[in-house]
Amino acid sequence: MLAEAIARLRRWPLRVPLRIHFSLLVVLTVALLGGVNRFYLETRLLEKLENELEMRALDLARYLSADSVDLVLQQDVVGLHKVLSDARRNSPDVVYAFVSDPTGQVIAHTFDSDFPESLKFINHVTADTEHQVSIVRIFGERFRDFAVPLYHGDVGVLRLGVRDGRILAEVAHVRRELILFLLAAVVASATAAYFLTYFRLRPLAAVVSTLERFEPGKPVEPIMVRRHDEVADLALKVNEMMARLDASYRQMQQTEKLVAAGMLASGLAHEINNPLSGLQNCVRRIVAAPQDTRQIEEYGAAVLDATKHIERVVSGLLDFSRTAPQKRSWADFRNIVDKGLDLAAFRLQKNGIQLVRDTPQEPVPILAAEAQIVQVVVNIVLNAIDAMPAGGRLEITLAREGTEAALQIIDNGCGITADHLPRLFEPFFTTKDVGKGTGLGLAVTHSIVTEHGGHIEIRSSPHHGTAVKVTLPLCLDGEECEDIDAAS
Amino acid sequence: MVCGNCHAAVLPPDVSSLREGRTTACVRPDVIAICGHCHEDVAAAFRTSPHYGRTAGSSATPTCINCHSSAGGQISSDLAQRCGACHGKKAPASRPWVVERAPRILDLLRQVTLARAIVAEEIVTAERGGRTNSLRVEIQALDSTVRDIPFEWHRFNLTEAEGRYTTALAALERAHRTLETGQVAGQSPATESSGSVRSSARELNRPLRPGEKPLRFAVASMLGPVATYNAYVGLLGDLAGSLGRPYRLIQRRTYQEINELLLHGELDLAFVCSGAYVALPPDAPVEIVAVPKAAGKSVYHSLIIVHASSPARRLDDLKGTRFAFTDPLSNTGYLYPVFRLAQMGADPSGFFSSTLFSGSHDRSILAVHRKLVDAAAVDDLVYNRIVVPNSPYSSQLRIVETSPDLAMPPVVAPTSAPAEERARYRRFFLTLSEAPEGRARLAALGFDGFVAGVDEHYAPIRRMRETADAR
Repeated sequence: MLAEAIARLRRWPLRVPLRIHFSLLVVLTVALLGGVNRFYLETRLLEKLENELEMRALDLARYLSADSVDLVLQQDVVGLHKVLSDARRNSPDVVYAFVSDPTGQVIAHTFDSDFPESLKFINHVTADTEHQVSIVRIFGERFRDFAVPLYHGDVGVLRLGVRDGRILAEVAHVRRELILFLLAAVVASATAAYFLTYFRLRPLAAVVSTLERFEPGKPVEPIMVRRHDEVADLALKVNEMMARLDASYRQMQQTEKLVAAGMLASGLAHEINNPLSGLQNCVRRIVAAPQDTRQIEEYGAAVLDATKHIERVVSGLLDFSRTAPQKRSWADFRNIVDKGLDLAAFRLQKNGIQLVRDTPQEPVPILAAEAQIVQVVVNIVLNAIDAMPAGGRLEITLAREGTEAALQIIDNGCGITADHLPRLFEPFFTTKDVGKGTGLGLAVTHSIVTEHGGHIEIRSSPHHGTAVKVTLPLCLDGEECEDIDAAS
Repeated sequence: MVCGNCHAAVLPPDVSSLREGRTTACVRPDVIAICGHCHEDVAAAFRTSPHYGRTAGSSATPTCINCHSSAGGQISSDLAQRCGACHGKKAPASRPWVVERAPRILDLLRQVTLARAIVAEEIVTAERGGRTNSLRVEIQALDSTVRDIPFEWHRFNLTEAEGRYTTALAALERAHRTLETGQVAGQSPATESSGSVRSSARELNRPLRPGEKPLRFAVASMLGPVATYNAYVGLLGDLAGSLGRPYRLIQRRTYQEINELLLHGELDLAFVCSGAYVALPPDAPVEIVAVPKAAGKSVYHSLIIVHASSPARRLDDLKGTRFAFTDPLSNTGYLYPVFRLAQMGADPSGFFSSTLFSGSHDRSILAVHRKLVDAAAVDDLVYNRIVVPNSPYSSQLRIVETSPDLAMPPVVAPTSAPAEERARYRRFFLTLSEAPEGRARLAALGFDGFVAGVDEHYAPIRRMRETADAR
């Protein structure tokens, strides 16, 4: 499991589904936007808020100082106390306020307890400044002490202590909420993006799996399309393309057979030509001595043999190149192998290939469309011939293996390289020069064998040869075979 | 202080060099002695400090004005720079960390100071809310640290100072957190509430119809304006209601102003102080309509009060203190104490260090409570209403003298009004205690009822006034 994961990791770039891509994209976008917002709040808004707080406190300090001047000058300390304590009572941010005279003596303050004398020293204002702020941070809050000279300090100094805590706590609260909101937005949008893309792109998965299952020549159900978007367009195009591919494949399959037939034809011409000259000789002799009945009898039989031979060759070729689908029926695998070898006989002989065949004495019954299995044999033999351009040895062994019939065709030709082996049955895969091969031979062979419920196996080592093994189910009991036929 | 205290007689041509903060030729070299003349303890602490000890006698000795601005005394805002002048990396007395550390400890010092002030307030609030705990003692233990700040600081033992301030701040923060939970909103002693009286009274305080004259009822500012309104508006509403007239409650800052209005016929009725009554000219066209009685008697008293922490036990002890009178025409709040001083052969300006007129009795009480003044003379009717058990005042005020019985402030009316009208007013006041609503109104004022007053009852007050005036 772990090794698998590591192996997958090594395969860079990673396979990342589109929905993850989109989700990540959305998360990034939302996070970026949120980050910008938060940055704005942190810097600009907080700064403005602090300025506003400062202005507010300063306004209060100025207001109090204006009120205090008269009261101090009139020495109305009770009135002064009332002004200060009203400010304290009515503004929850005010922590304290006090007024000291020019000698530094405190004349009125808002403390319930005794005035803390040392408080005087935490801020200081000179007469020529409008005000002075001293910031002290304690108890996790920010306190500011404003010192405002009363009438240029001639009358005294007003000191006002305010706390920022409540507002800043609110800001911190809002900030926390914003982060939570942002997290929620990220999670929600990522989830939404994930599922939306998942559902929107699900038809893509159907397209992919259909294409995976797709094999030219085999019926494939078209992809179901219920929507109208790009994915639907793609699915429709894929359906169309599969149909076209299928059609052209069927055409090519036919072409392939004709190509094979063409290749065989030149050899078969000899098969026909050779008896023909004998035939002519016989006929000529019979014509020359029509009275010689013994000779007529003798040559007549020979003529009959020759024409039978020609008939067999021609009908074999006709059978091979027939396009109409064939019904499956009982057949002896041995006969089929014979027919295939007959078709290829001349090419084997011409290429100086020694044929070694080993077929059992008793019949090897299979249920097959005979012409198709002949095609299988011919295709494999022709490939073997192509692999041995300078002659060689072709071993053909037919044997029963349990409930199956196994046909092995082994050559000692050039072999197939390892990287080509897995692709052998792919349609249009060929190593031959353009015009020499269609690339369909083995694909057709494979599909025929598979359709017959058998399988085909190719082993090869370069420069040593190739072994092709075709196994087909034996058909020993007629009834059972009918079932198989029905099933397939 | 004169220039020569600090500066040598001859100034250099460039006076701006004075601001540089270093001891220059023009500043007398014995700065520490000059400042120490007043700031003795600080100068003493400084002389024990390494600042002084290590460099004593040399020209490098830092003095007060190295850190403090020479004019204002505050610590210069560029303290780090100033420390850096000597403690910089290149300087001979290098301890470069001072530059960074001194401002930090100074800030710590500010924190301790503010924290101490806030926590002290919180303790008072908590105690007022009935929550008492050991925090007060704990915090008071820190006071030596806070109080000694100027002294400690000038020893320039930064490490020790930092340790002390950090410990103190931590203790204060703990106290703050303890008090913060279950914090009771600070109640102001001056707030008085009266819910129902207002709404019923408001109806008659309506705009006048054509030809209609309101009942103008003045109340001298024995209490503050809001307290007066709350106390009298119900009674006045009832009176105006019984007469079927709208009313106006008239208040002025001083008793004198009410007297003036009365003499000019601008009022229909006035509740004046006994002192203001006797200040009216003998032939004034004013007569007493009714006089309130409390505890069965139509008398009240002047109280001389001090803060509980005051050492004064008698009026004599108040010599040289700050004293609050109520109003120059007040009987209990001015006349009585001045009369007493006259008896002792003194007068207020000579006896007290400073005096002021607070304007009303409740404000005088507040002034003593807040130590804005050391003592005050107040009316016992007001005093007994405000200084009730469990009020913030109760344990913090003390009476040093109570006057003999004095005739209560009367309700008066100008004789220019028709006699039957005045009779109607009198009937209203005298029958007030007969009905339950009337008794409720009286209770709100702290009275049992009203009786018909007699001018002769005010004769002793007139005599007091004559004695006082004679001084």
